[in-house]
Amino acid sequence: MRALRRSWLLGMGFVCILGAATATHAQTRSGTDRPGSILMFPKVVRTASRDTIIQITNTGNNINWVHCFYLSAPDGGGYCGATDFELVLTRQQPTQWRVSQGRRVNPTDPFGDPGAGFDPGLIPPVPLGFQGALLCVEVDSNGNPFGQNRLKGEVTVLDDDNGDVAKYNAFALAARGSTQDNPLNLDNSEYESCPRQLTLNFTPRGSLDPVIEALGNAALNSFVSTNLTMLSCNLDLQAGVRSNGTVSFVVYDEFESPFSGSFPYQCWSSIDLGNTPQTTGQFRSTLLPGGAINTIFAQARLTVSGAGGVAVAESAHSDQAGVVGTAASNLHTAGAAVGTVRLP
Amino acid sequence: MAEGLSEQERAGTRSERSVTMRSVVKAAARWAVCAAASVVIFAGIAGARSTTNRPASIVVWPKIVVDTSGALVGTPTDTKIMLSSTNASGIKQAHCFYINATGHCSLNNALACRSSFDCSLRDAGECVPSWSETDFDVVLTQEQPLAWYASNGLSRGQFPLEGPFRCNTPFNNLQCFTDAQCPNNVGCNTGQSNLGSAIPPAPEDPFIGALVCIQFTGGSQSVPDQTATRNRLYGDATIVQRLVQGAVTQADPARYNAIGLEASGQAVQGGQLVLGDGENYASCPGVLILSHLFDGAVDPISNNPAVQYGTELTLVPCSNDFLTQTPGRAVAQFLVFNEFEQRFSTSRTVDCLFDSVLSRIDTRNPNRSIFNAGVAGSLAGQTRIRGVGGVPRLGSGLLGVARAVLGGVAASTAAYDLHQQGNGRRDLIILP
Repeated sequence: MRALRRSWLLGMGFVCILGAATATHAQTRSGTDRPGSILMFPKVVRTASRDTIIQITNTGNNINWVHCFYLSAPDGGGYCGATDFELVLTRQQPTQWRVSQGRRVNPTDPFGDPGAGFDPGLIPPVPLGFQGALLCVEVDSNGNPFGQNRLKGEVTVLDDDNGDVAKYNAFALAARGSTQDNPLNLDNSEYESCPRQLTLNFTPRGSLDPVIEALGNAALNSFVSTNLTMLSCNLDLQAGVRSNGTVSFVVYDEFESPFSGSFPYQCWSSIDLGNTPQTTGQFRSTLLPGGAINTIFAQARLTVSGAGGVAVAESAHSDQAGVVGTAASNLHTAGAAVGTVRLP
Repeated sequence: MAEGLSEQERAGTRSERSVTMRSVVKAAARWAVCAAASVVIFAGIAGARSTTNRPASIVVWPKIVVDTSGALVGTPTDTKIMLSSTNASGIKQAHCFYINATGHCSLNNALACRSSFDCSLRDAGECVPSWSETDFDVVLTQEQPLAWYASNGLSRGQFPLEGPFRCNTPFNNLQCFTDAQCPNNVGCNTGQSNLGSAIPPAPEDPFIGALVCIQFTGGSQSVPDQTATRNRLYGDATIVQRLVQGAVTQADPARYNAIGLEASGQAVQGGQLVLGDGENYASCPGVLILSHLFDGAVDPISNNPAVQYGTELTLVPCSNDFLTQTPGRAVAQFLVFNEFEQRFSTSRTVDCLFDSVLSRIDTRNPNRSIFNAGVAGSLAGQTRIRGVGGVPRLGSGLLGVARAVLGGVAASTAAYDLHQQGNGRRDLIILP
């Protein structure tokens, strides 16, 4: 009978473990269309005219503690400064704030006010001129990493001068095991790995925008450019965020012609594709000096060395008067890179 | 052997068995609870397979808009569609379907509409929905990006790699056998080409609809691709509208990634593409999650009542019967949470394609909508969307995209993909 019981237990245990394991393996792969445990917002800006709205949502029915870090652009030494704060999200709670203002804890915010709703915590504003990223991690009530895979996020970058908006989804990495610890290993075992390859459809810098031309606003002076903002997956928030590596790329135009090159990246990098010495030929239209792309559409395959990274692209379409409309987009991803995030 | 036991020993044995059985039952119950808990815990994150980040074999653009005069959407609008192959060697063929969901007003068939609200503004009766598909082939060479405007399409002579034995664009009307025969060093295409491709313009203007492309093997035995080089297509769309702000006119681009459904490697039988766990293609998501700012919320920085937030939502069914021209249909159940953790719900039928600002989903008076900031009471909201019902044999899965709107009459927009969660479901695409 004991043997029977043992076999029962073994069988049920096996089924249970197999079920959980299967579910874990069948679950999400890192990306921008599923909730996860680590959220990476590669592009957060606050300038005189541009501001950013952050939205974070708890998609689960349990309370969710979240530890967030603003990462500023690297200084001369290559270090990205980090400012942290904590959020508490009740079940299914969405929250939002403008980075220029942050969010105060004020239970008396009137109904309909921007601060109305359960205050998730004190969120500091970022200074004028801020460029950088936001990283948020699910933790437990003691601040230890705890993966529920219920966080999702969006960013809206808006221009207060002309009302232009651009929006992208945060990159989410799901926890894969039932226990997490510090540092967070993005190795497909504790958390999902980071992408090794990023793929971008883009219009080469300097190309004419057929729609603007058709509107009659340009007289062949319209201009399309693309900015790539990248956040490394190797972030040591305890000892100071300093990571670097190389992005190698191959660009294919519509003639299937390949153009290759590379550029360096740091913990956070922003690059105007086609407007730097390393990307001039490969990302620039033949309409501009030094440009090599002879078609108005192209595909870039970026391979990130080291710990990998996530990125967002923002294309700017301007007319002859310099009026700019922008659109942000998430990149497609492939491959796996092992990264590490060390919390303080 | 039991016959040799005394009554007391038998009672003891029965008692021991009883205790053992109780233990087994208790242990089984514990494990069952564990199994159920693991299912509950992981169910939410397992199953969904569609992707907006990776190449796939079925690529869906839920929202394509062409309105060059601005008659339907208010501002001149066109959509740039980009489709790329990531196949490192060899051509890939995409068989694509434009799904035309443009409605027309009952009292004036020349007027296009998305909902009866569009017709009522012009005293033209009700909006009569319609559904038709136009299919075409696109042949992509290795690693080739291809893009076109939905208003124009691409016809013979406009593809970048015409041929074979044609000069490359813009001299693709010239036949050649060597590069030297082509002007301006554009080269002679003697290798892979886009031969066999023809992309028609959107079937009408104004047009609102969707685009679905399915990867085929190409060549004479062209079938839905389940070979080792399946899942090589990805795409995105940029909806460009003409924005007028005072004396200034500008282009407003809104870009989103197309949704991909990965092929499993199982051969398709009888032109029926089954989307589901363990089937031909990945399943559609169980739940779509939309994070948004509630409609009508006034921008807190400018505090200008004319500058308000809004969100447009577009949903399309995963299933379609292109053989009998039966559009997919589902009832979308909306579960809305505000920042007070308060919950609202509503539902709408998604018949072929659903496109609406959020605050017109549940009412014709946006000020009374559960998606209105004045009703919800907070700025940010989360809406969970689940498809139920559906046409028999087909499924009730839904795919979608959202477009955030900021401003009043001349509103700047930004498109973004929805998140997904939940178990996979079974849907069906039937090819003609």
